[in-house]
Amino acid sequence: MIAVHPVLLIAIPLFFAFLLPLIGLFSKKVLKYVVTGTIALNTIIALLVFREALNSPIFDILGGFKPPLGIVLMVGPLGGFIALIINMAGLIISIYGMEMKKEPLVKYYMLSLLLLMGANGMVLTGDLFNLFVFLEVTSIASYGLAAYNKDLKGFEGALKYVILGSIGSTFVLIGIALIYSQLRTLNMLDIATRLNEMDPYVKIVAFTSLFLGFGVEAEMFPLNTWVPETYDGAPHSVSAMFASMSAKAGIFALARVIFTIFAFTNYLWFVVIMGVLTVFFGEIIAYAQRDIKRMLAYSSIGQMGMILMGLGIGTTMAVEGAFFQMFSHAMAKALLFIAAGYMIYATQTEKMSEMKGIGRNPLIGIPLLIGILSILGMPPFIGFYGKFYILMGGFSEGYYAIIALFLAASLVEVAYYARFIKIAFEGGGKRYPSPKATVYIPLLLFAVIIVIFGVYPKPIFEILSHVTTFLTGGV
Amino acid sequence: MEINLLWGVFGIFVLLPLAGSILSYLGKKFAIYIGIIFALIPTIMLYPFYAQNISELINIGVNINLVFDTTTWFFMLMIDTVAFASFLFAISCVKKKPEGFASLMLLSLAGANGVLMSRDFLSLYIFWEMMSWSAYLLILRSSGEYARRYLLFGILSAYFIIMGIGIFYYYTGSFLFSDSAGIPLMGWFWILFFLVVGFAVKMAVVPLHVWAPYAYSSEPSFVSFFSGGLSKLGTFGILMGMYGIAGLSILQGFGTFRDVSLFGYPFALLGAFTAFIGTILAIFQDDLRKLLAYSSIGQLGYVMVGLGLGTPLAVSGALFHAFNHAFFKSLLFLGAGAVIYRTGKYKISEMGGLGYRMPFTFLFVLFAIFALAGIPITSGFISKWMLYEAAIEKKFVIIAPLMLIASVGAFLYSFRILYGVFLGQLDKPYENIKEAPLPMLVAMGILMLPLLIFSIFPGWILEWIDDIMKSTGVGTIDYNTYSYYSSIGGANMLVLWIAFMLVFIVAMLIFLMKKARKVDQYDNYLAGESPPYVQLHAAHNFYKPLRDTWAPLLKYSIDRAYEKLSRFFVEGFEEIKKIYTENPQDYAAYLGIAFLLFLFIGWWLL
Amino acid sequence: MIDWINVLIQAGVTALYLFLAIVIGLLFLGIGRKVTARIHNRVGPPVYQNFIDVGKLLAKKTNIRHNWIFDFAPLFGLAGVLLTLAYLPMGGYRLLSGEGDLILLLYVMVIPALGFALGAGASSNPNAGVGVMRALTLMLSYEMPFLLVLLSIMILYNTASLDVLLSKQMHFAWAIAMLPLSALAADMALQGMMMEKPFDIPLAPHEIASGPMVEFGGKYLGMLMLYSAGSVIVETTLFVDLFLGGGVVLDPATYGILAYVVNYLVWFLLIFVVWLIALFINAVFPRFRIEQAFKFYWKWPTIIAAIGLVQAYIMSAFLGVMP
Repeated sequence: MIAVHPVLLIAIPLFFAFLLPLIGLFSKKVLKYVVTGTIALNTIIALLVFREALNSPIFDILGGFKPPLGIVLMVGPLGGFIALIINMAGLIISIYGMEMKKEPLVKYYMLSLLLLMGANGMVLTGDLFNLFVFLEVTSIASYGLAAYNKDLKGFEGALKYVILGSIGSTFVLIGIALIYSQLRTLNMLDIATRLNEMDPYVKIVAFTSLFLGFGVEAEMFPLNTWVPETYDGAPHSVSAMFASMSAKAGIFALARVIFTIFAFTNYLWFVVIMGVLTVFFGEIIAYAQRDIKRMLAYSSIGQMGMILMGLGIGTTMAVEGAFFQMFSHAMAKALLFIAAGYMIYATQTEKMSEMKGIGRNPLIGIPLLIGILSILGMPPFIGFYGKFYILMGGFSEGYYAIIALFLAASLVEVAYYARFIKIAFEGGGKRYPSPKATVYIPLLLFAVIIVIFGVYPKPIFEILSHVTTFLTGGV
Repeated sequence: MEINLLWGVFGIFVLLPLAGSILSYLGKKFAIYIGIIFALIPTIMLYPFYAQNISELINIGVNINLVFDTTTWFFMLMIDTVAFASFLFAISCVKKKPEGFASLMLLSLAGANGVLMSRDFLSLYIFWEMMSWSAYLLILRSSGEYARRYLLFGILSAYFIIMGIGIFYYYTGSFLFSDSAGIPLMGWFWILFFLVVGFAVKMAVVPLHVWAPYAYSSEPSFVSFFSGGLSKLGTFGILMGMYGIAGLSILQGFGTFRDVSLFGYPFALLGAFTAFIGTILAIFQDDLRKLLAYSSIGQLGYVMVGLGLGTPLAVSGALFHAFNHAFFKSLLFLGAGAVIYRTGKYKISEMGGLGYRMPFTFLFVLFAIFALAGIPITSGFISKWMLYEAAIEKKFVIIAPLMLIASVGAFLYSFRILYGVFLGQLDKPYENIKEAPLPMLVAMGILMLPLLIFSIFPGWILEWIDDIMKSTGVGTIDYNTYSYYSSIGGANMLVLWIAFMLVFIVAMLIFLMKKARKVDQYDNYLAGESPPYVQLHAAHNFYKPLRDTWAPLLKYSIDRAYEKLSRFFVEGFEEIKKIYTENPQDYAAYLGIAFLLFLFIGWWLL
Repeated sequence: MIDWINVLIQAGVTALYLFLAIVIGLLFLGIGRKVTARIHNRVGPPVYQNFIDVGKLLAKKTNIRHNWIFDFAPLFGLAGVLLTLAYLPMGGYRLLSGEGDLILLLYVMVIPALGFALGAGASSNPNAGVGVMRALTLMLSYEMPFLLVLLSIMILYNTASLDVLLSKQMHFAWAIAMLPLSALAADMALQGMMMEKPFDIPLAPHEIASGPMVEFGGKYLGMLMLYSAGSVIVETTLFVDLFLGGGVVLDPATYGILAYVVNYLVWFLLIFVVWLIALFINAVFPRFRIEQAFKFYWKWPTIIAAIGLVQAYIMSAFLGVMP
C-alpha cells in the first residue's frame, strides 16, 4: 500500500553519510555532487511521502512490534510538509555548500547529511524516545558543524551550543522518563490518549521538561542564548542549515509536544507570552548588533518567537500561520544567510558598516531585497501570510496588548533591516567580486520560491487545512 | 455577466500594470516607454468605465469584495493620470536603470489601484503593502537613508492599520467592509482610531509627517507620483474608514459638537495644525524639494480637516482638495524636477532667473502655484473655499483661522519658489540653459488641464463628488455647473472668469497704447552703486526677518524629538543586549531559572 | 433665459462704478499728499497732482521693460484691482458681490498683489525682491488679526456674503457697534494693508528705493498708480462694508434710485473718514522694521481681534444674537 517508505528519508542520508568517507578515499571532487544528489533524492522521496501523507497519515512500524511498544514513524500532512521544507532547504543549501573549500570536506558533508537525517527523523517519528534520539543526532551533528571553521569564534559558539544543547537534551530525557514511568509507553498518540492517567504534578514537570528541552532547539527565550554565537561562528551554509532545518525540526517537535501529546488548551497563553518575549528580545537585540550574521541570528530568534506565538494562540488560523511561517522563514532566512556568506566573503569582514554597496549587483541585491521583504511580512511574498494569519488569529482570541507589543518589536525589525539595506545599496562602495554560480543559484531558487508561493499561496493553504486535525490531537 | 465585467476591470487596472511591471523590467532600454503604455491604458480605460457600479464577492478561502464605483473611479482618475504624467516626465530624466524605475512604478500603480478597488481589509492590506514597499524601493534608488525613514513610517502605518483590521476581525470574524454589524461603540472607536491614524501617516499628518520631507527629496518623477498620487490613498483610506465602513450614524454616536462627530473633530483640529505647521516650515526651506514636501504636508492637512469635520461640504471639499492637490503638487514636483534636471542644483538660493529661459516650465509652475495658493482662476480656490466655509458655517473658531492663516503662509512660500527659481537675476552659469525637454512639458501640460477646466466648470467634478457623498451617505452638496454654495455663501466661477477677462482686456488696452523697449537685466536702478561682479539675486535666506521672529519656536522640532526618542530606544536596546552576556555559565543559569519559573507557574496554575 | 439688456445695463453701471472708484482713488492719493504735507508743515502738491502724474506717465514715449514676466505687474495689477472692486459693494450697490462671497473677495484681492510681485520679481533688481519679501511678510502679519476679524463678523452675522452682510447691517446694527474691538483690530490691520506708516517698510523709499516699484517707469508706473488708487478704494471700502454697513442708510427697495445716490454719498464720506484716519496715523508715525511689524501684529491686534472673536462667538453661540 505504501508506495514510498518514509523511513527512506532517514535511511538514505544515514547510509550515504557513512558511505562518504569511503567515496572520499577515491575522489574528493565527487563528494559534493554525491551529497547534493543524495539530498535531491531525499527531496523527491519527501515529496512522494508528502503526497502520500496528504491522502491519509502514514503510520510505519519498524521492527515488527505493535504501536504501544514498537518504534513508529508517523507522517501526517504537516509532518510531511515540514519534512519537505527541510529537505528542500537542505537541497538548495547544499548547492551553496559545494563552494566549501576548507578541509576536512568529508566530515563536513557527512555531518550535514547527519543533520538532515536527524531533522527528518525528528519530524517523522511518532515515538517520544526516538524523538530524543534524533534530537541528539541533530545536536551532535550541529556541534560538529558549528565548530567546523576551527577558529576561536567557531569553538566558542560550538561550546556554548554543546553546553546548552546537552542540558536541553537532558531535560527532554527527564521528561520522557517521567512520562514512561507513569504510562509505560512512548508512542505519542498512545500517550495522548492516556494522558489523564498521569499524576497532574508529574505531568506538569514532564511538560515543562519537554517544553524546555525542545525550546532550546526551537530558539525560545531565554534558552536561545547559544544561537547568536553559534550561528556567527559556524560556516555560512551551516548557519543557513541551522535556521532552516534544525530550528524547524525543533519547533515542530515543540508543536507536537504541545498539541499532539499534551493537547493543552487552557495554558496556551503561557506559550504566547514566551513567544512574544522571544520576539521582543530577539528583535531588540538584533537592532543592537553590528555584525551581519549575528543580526540575522537574532532576527531568526525573533521569527521563531513569532512561530511560537502562533502556536500558542492556538486557533486554526494562527497555527496555520505558524506553519506557513515555518516555511517562509526556512526559505527567507536560508537565503539571507547565504547572501550574508557571500557578503562576508566579498568584503572580508562581518561588520555591516563596511558592506557599502554590496547589494548593487542585481544577482545579490534582488534576492536580498526579496528575502528581507518576505521576512518583514510584505505581500506578495510568503512571509506575509504567516504573519498576517498569526496576527489575525491573535486578534480573534483578543490578544490585543500582546500583539501591540509584537508589532512594536516588528517595527524594530524593520528598523534594522532598513538600516542594513541602506548600507547595502549605498553608492560609492568598492568593487566587489561578482558572485559565483554556487552562490547566486541558491539565492535565486529561494527567491523564486518566495515569490511564487507568495503570489499563489493556495497549495500551501490547502496543505495547512489539515491543521484542524493536528490541533485536536491528530497527526 | 457581472463577474466577467469585474474581472475585466480588475484586469485593466491591477493586472495590466502588474504585467507591465514584469514586461518593462525585461524591456531594459525601452522600459520607460513600456511603462508609459501600461500607465496610459488604465488612464484611458477610465473613460468607458465612468459611473459603473460593479461589485463582486469573491471567495479565496475568505471572502473578499472587489468593487469599482465612483469612489474608485474618482481616485483612480487622479492616481492614474498622475502616474502617466510622471512616466512621460521620466522619459528624459530617468537615465539610471530605467527598468527598475518603470517596473516599480507600475507595481506601485497596480498596488494603488488595487487598494482603491478593495472593499475588504485583506485585499486592501495586501495591495497597500505592495504599494508601500515598491515606493520604498523607489526611494531606495536615490537614498537609503530617506528610504529607511519612509519604511519605518510606512510600516508603522501598516501596523496601525492592521491593529484596526484585527479589532474589526475580532468583532465580526470577517474582513468585508459590509459585515460591520454588531460592533460595539468602544470597538468602533479603536477600529477607527487605528485606521485613521494609520492612513494619516500616508497623508503625512503632523506629528507623523517626519518621513515626508526626506521621501519627497528622491527622484522627482517618482516623487510627483508619490506626493500627488500615492498620498491620496491615505485620503481614500480615511474616507472609507470613517464614512464607508462606519458611517455617519456611528461617528455621531460618539457624541456631536455642532453636528460634527466628537471622533472626527480632534482629527480635524490635527489637520488644521498640520496645515499651519507644514506651511510655516515650508516658508523657511531652502531646498526646493523639501519646501514642496512641507507644502504637501500642509495641503494634506486641509484634506484632513475636511475628512474630520464630516459635513457634506467639508468632505466634498476634502475630496476636491485632494484632487487638486494630486494635480498641482505633481505638477510642482515635475516643475522642480525639470529645473533640477537642467541646473543640477536643488537649492533655491542657487538658482534664479530661469523663467526667462524656461518660459513654459515657468508658466506651468505658475499655474500650479496659483492653484496651490488658491487663486480663484484655478480650481484650487474652490476646494479651499469649500473647506473654509465648512468650518465657518459650523463656527469652528480654532480650525478656521488656522486654515486661513496657513493659506496666507502659502503665498509666502509660493513666491519663494517663483522668485528664487524663476525670477530675479539670471546667473552667469545659466545663461545658455535650455527649456525643459518636450516630454516633460507635455507631462506638465496634462497635469495643468484639470486645474483650469474645473475652475470654470466646478459642477462637473462636484457631480462625481456628489455621487461619492451619496454612496457613503454623508449627504449632498449644493452646486450647479458654474457655481457652488454653502449655507452662508457661494460663488459663481463663470461670472468671475468673464469679469476677469473683461477687466484684463481693459488693462491690456491701456498697456498696449505705448510700446516698450527691452533692456538688459543688469540695467537696473541701484542708486548709482552697481557692483557688476556681485550676484544680485536676493534669494538666500529669503525670509530671514520672519525666521528671526520665529526662531524661539523653530527651535522645537518634531524631527529632533523623534531622533531623541530613537536614541533613547537604541540606548535601551544596548542595555537589553547585555542579557546575552556571552558567558555560558550565565546561559546555563538562565536555563535553570527558566525551568524553575516554568515549574512554579505550572504548579500555581494547578 | 438670460435677460441680455439687463445684463448690459448691469455691466455698464459696473463699469461706471469702477471708473469712479479709480477716479476717487486718485483723488484720495492727492488729498493724502496734501494732508500729509500740511501736517508736516509743508505746502504740498495740489490735490489733482496724481491725475496729472498718471496722464503724464501713460503718455510717455520711452518705456523700459526687462522681459515678458515684467509685464505681468501692470496687467495683473490693474486687472486684478478692477476685479476686486467689482466684487465690493460700493454705496450699497452690489455689483458682482452677489456672485461671490467674502472668501472669494479675499482671494481675488490677492491677484493684483501677486501679479505686481511677479513683475517686480522679474525686474532683477534686488531691491524689488527684498521689497516683495517684506510685503509678503507684512501680509502674513496683518492677515492674522484681519482674518480673525473677518471670522468674527461671519460668525456673528452668519453669512459670508458681503451683499447679505450689508442688508443685515442695515436692518440690525452696524458691525462697529456690535463688535467694537474687532473694528479696532481691523483698523490696525488696515494700516498695514495700505502699507501706510508705521508699516511702510515694504516700500521704504529712502532705503530700498520704493521696493517693488523700483524698476517701473512710464506706462508701467502709470498703470501701477492706477492700481494703487484702486487699492486705496478697495481697502477703505472693505472696512466700510464690513463695519460701517457699507454706507447703506436708505433701503433701495423702498427709495429706489434716490437710495443709491444717498448711499453712495454716505459711502464716499465714510471711506474718506477711514482714509483720513489712516493718513493721520501715517503722518505722525515713524516706521517699524519688518520683524517689529510682525511681532506687533501677532501680538496686540491679534489679541484684540481674538477677544472680538470670543465676543462674537459668545454672542452668536450662547446668547443667540441672530442678526
